Amino acid sequence: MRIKLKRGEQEKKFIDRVNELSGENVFSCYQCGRCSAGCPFAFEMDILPNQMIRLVQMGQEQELVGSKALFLCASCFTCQSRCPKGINIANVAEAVRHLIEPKGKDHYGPNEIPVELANELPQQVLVAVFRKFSK
Amino acid sequence: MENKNIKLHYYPGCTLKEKTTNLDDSTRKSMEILGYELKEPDNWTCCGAEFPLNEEKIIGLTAPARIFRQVELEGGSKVVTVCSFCYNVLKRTNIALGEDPLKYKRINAYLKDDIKIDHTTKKKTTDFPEYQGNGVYP
Repeated sequence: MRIKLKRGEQEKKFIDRVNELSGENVFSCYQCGRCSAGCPFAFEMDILPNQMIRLVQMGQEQELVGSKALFLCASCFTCQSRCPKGINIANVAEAVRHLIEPKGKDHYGPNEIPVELANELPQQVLVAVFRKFSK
Repeated sequence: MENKNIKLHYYPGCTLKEKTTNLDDSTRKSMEILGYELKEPDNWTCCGAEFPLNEEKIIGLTAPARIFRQVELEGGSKVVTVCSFCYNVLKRTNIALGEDPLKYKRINAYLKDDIKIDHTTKKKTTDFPEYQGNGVYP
């Protein structure tokens, strides 16, 4: 993965916003990789949890917009329980999802749910699924 | 009746709108007979009762905060609901906004993104979801 690094206003804004929303300091991460080693979905992910933090540290919003890993996260909190620096990685992932969602694509739309199933499912399930997976 | 034409903001929630419309209908009828005028807030959204994706569940509290803001903008000071899920989330948000300065700050950080006007949810939402009027179920 080749990334052209810049240190501009936009990058700074993105990093500050992630820190503000998550309530964490992403710069306390020193890339030990324990989060990725423990992640039960790591084998499916294109960007591993520690790489996600690294991309945030570098302000690479565009790299994150294209990733599907953030939407594979099952919020099991294994990463944050393993983190030696005590970073709440699920919070960071949630903040990043919130920021990139309007720019990305729908990962799961209303058309993908069969009509019979939609009638049976509780409304809250549908709302929750769209909240996480659609922009 | 002493309660004649008391105006209330009524938040039906997604389930009452789509799946159990009979509860919505009966609520509206009963409230009408009791002399209350119900008004839905404009552009109301999901109440946020869903599985949390992070430990602090901050983002789940932003949706109710949005509803409070809308009610506040429409000049209301209370909002009632009959859905127990909605009630739970609205109440939790209310407590977070009113009593926890850190959560108040974090919720407003999320809300900053979609605020078109310069207005943040104030602490006076403390008694929002509860209406302890004469026999009205909050």
